[in-house]
Amino acid sequence: MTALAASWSTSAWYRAAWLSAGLGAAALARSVFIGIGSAGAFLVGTVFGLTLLGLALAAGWRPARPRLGALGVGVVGGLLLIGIPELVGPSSRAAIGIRPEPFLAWLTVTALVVAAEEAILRGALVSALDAAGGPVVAVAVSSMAFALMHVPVYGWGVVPVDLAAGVLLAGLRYLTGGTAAPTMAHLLADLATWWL
Amino acid sequence: MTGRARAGWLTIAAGVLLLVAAARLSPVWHAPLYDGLVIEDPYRYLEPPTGKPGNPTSVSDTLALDQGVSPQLYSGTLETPPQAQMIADRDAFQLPSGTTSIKAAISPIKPPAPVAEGRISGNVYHFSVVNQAGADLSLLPGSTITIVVRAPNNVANGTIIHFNGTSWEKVPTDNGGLVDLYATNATELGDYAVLVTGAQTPEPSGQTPPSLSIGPMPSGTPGPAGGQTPWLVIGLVAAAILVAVLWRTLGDREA
Repeated sequence: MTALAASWSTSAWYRAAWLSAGLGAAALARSVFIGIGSAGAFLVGTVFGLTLLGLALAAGWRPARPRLGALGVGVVGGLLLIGIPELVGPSSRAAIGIRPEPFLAWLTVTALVVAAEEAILRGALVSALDAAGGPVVAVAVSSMAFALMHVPVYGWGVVPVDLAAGVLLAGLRYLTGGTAAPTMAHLLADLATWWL
Repeated sequence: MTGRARAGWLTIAAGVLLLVAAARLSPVWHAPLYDGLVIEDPYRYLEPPTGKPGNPTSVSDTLALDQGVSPQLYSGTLETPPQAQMIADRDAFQLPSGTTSIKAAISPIKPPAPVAEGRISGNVYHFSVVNQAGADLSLLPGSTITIVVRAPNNVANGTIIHFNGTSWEKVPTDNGGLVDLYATNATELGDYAVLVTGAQTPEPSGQTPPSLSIGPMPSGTPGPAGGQTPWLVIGLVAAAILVAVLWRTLGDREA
């Protein structure tokens, strides 16, 4: 029993479970601050991003120098994320308050949050889940985690969109072998909301 | 092709198919991702409960016709995000002869009647589209207008209701992009609000006469951040503990 417990505590499943728990706690903590206006939003975003980055680093993820080709793949992925809803979705659009001024601060904090989400999801969590259960499990669980972590802020209606985007981003991660491509795609999609 | 690359291509293909399905099935346009920073100001009440902000905004937009038909229309109140919005495609309205322009207006109003069950959460909003002569415009058969109503912050169990002239009726309600933002594709204008029937009924709705003027954004009112500070501390401590535990138990082996 002790050996079993020791084995579990060092397993990839254990690491994935801790990462998921941390991700969920951080997402819930962030959602509490909806409604405090713009003043605190940048601070909350920064703390959220740093927390996720800390979790990813603690789980063994390390940043690496991105390859140019991976960044190019990421640009294509970003264009898919932006273009598909524009081309096949309905035209009626509601404003949801995601254009916080000033632009440079928004850009910086958004980039931090994107990099941190990719580090923990497509970096640490996909690695752990891939080692534990293979790529299908890694893609499915990391994409579901990506969708669910946004529910406290955006509601259940965003699950289909973010689940689909999570699958695409996980595909970029497998295709290129690193987090640079999904980070680039994710960043482009987030930045596009400024103009869309 | 390596196994990893094959898995990547297959996963990307699945992701594209899922994105197309999500976009096709969504009742309203959605962002590429629901992610990043969200700014949501405290809800403004027509008649604010103690300690809550007041002075909700109204809006009135006058638009020229687009080649003889009603133009694409977006109108929203001035809060962040707007507490009430309406969106219509081009050529959505029947135009009486002689129409040269249309005016879309949204204003918070006193509830025209009480609800039979639950409670109206936030303000009731009156949505109207008229021509330059003040004649109400109705939607063309087959056309809809997207009505988006925001409930007070974090009210997540709401349903949009519409006043049919004698009573309130629930309408099909979709998520509007935030947890407390609700959307419906309506076939008529008029009075809309968010109904909550569960335990989550944090504040009463406004009870004063309507304000029909277009005013500037009210000056900032302190939000409820003070009451949330303990949650921030709890969240940060929990996250710090998780980081420490992971660092101690996992980090060294993965480097």
